[in-house]
Amino acid sequence: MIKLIRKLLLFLPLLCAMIYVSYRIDPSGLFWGAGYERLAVEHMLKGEYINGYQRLDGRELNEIYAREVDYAPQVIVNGSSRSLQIKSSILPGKTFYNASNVGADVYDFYTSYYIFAKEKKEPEIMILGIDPWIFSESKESIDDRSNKKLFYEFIVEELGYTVDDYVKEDPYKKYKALLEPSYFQSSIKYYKISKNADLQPQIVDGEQVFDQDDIVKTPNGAIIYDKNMRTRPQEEADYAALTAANTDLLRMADFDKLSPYYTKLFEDFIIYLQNKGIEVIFFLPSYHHYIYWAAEENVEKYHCLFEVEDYLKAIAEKYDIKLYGSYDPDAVGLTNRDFMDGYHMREASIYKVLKLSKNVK
Amino acid sequence: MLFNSVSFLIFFPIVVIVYFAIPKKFKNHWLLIASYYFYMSWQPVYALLILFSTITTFYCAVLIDKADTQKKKKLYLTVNILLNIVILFYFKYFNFFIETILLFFPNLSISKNNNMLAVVGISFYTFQSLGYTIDVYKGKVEREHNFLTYALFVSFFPQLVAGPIERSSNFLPQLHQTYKFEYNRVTDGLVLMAWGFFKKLVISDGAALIVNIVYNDVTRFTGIQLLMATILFAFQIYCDFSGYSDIAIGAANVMGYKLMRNFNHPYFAQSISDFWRRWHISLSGWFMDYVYIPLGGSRKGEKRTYINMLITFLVSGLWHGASITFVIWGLINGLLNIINRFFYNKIGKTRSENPIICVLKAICTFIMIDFTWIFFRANNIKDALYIVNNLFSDLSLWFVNGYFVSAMKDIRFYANNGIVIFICIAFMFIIELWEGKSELTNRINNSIWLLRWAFYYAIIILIIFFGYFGKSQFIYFQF
Repeated sequence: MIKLIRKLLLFLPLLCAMIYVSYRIDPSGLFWGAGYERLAVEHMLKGEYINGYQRLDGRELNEIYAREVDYAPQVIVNGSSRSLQIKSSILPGKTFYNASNVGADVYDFYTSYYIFAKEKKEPEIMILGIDPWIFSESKESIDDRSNKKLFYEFIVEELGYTVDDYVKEDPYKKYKALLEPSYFQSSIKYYKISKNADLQPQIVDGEQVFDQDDIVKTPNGAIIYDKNMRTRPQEEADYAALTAANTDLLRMADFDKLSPYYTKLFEDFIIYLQNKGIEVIFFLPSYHHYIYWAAEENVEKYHCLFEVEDYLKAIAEKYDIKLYGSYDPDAVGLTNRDFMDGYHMREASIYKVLKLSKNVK
Repeated sequence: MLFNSVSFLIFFPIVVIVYFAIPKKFKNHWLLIASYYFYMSWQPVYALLILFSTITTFYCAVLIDKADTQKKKKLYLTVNILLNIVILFYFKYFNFFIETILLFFPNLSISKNNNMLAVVGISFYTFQSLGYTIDVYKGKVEREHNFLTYALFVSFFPQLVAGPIERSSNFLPQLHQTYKFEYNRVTDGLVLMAWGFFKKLVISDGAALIVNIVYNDVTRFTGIQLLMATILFAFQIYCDFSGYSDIAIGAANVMGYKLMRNFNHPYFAQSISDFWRRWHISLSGWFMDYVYIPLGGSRKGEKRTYINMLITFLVSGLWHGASITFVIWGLINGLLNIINRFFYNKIGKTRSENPIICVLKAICTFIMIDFTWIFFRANNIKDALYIVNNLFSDLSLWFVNGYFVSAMKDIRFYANNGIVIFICIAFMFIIELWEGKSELTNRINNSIWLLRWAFYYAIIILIIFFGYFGKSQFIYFQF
């Protein structure tokens, strides 16, 4: 038997080589995250700007960033693309990461925080860019890209919820993959493909970040919209808003009542954050006037938009939370010039509303 | 539990280690438990079918043994065969039978049982246990007195679901012996298993990716593509089944049991009849002993011999599957064997030592056999006939610049490592030539260490780099 074991050990170098190749190349990003996003994070951690945000999987990128950054950012922003322009200059002197996602839904709202908490990198300040649809149970409010498994893991493991079909992910799954020849084969294929220059994230020189035809990802997670979007004539921006107002409002058409489940979850989340000593700040990104007026004209259909704001104000008061902004642009003194389209404020306009530096230590 | 699954990679070492560790008197019990566990990993309830087959054949053999007249012996044997064939018929052929009836009498109010799942390996263990009772009836073997030993004979996990179909005279005596750990024997078994895995994972499963594209939508493809898929299928089925047999024989060998050889380089066969002496030897032998010879074999004149051959191959076709394509496949093989015998009778057997003539004869045999595989693999007769009619439909274009490459791209030949598969087939043939009349493990053991280790490493590297690790069934599991 000993002789057999000794002979079998002669195959060990082969096994080690297979494991090493699979681990280093890691085509499914089990250890290092997806290849393209992994490289993007490497650049971001070096303080570099990345061109072509649309080609990145923002959720994957945030997860890798949370894992790779070697400190806990003091400020974390979460929200949708409506909050993605918030940069570190909002609170100078503090380490910062904007973990918002394009098309963020209720799942992203919680996982944007959880990816840092999982790595024991909880922030001191959490700026919650809150979109009304995170209280909707309508299917339309859900984005295919959000990480549902991670969401369930968070509410079960951290908030103590019960979810019937929740199965805790096998923590050894990724290690088992290293022993699978199929993973090794994928690594070889991936290595060949990834040598292609088109698959490398493009770095943008710091001075030219505002002169790009593509969306740029900044080192602290925020984005800079492309030049065309930012500098489009106001008439064009207003026209985009008007067009949007003439169709169903984004993720609001089937939103007929505030979900008791999601409101409870939201409150539990706030309590959970406060119990951890994290300062919570609410930010309500405004809608363009055309959008808001369309909602006011059709209150029966869009009553939840107003109810969410009332609800958030009540929660802010109940838990002593600072609330900035309003879905109503008039309420915060915004004009149509503060918008790039129906749903996205200009970066400077966000700062007009979100005057944090005066109020946050 | 498939041999090519992670579960088996865990299951097998545990079974072997415990087998060698426990006292002699518990070894068979342990193997019996392991075998039933192995089988129940597919469909637990179908273990009852093996149990039924085991009980009926065991006790029928007891009755046959104790019967005082030949008439009674015959009665018990007939009852036993009927019982087992009824079960086999119901689980394997019932739906096919109903379909056929409805084809001729569409207004009959009978229907298929759509809830019936395929019973893995039912033909194998039914034939093995029936073979035992027939042997007891004929007095070729003594009946087994220990029920548990007999149950293990029927359900021994390495060969349970796809053979080799063991003869009681070969295997039952081995179950009365115990085997200790022997380094040389264990390594021989492991080498054979690795060789089987190579054939299955690299050649068979790789070829299947291309074959399935073509055979599942035949009308989309032209001659050269149909031809390539048909050639590849010949290797797919050979490597699938002989790969399984190698793993089974190797696994049994690790524990000390010697199962019969099931394949003997069939694609080196010099004639159709030679092919059938080399392909699925355990089944061919079974049909020879229990169907062809009882029918009269070649003892009742030439015409009757032809009829017996035809019947035997038709039954063999039906054994492979409940489908008209298998029946036609059996029929064609029967006819080819009859033609083969007819010509040999006319011109007399010639055995050439000239290697060129041998190669030419092997190629001709391969072409004929590969033609029959079309009916074996096609999803239905219509598809099979389409392939036969269109195999050379684009012959004039074969040598047009770029046509071949473009046709191959269309069936994802290059993307699915088609070239590597052919290199591996060539490698397999070289090893088989080197193996000659000896056994692979003997050849390897007699080589210098450098060659031996080069072979081990080559096999493992090829499996790691080119093996297919999806959940692919062995083709013969369905039979």
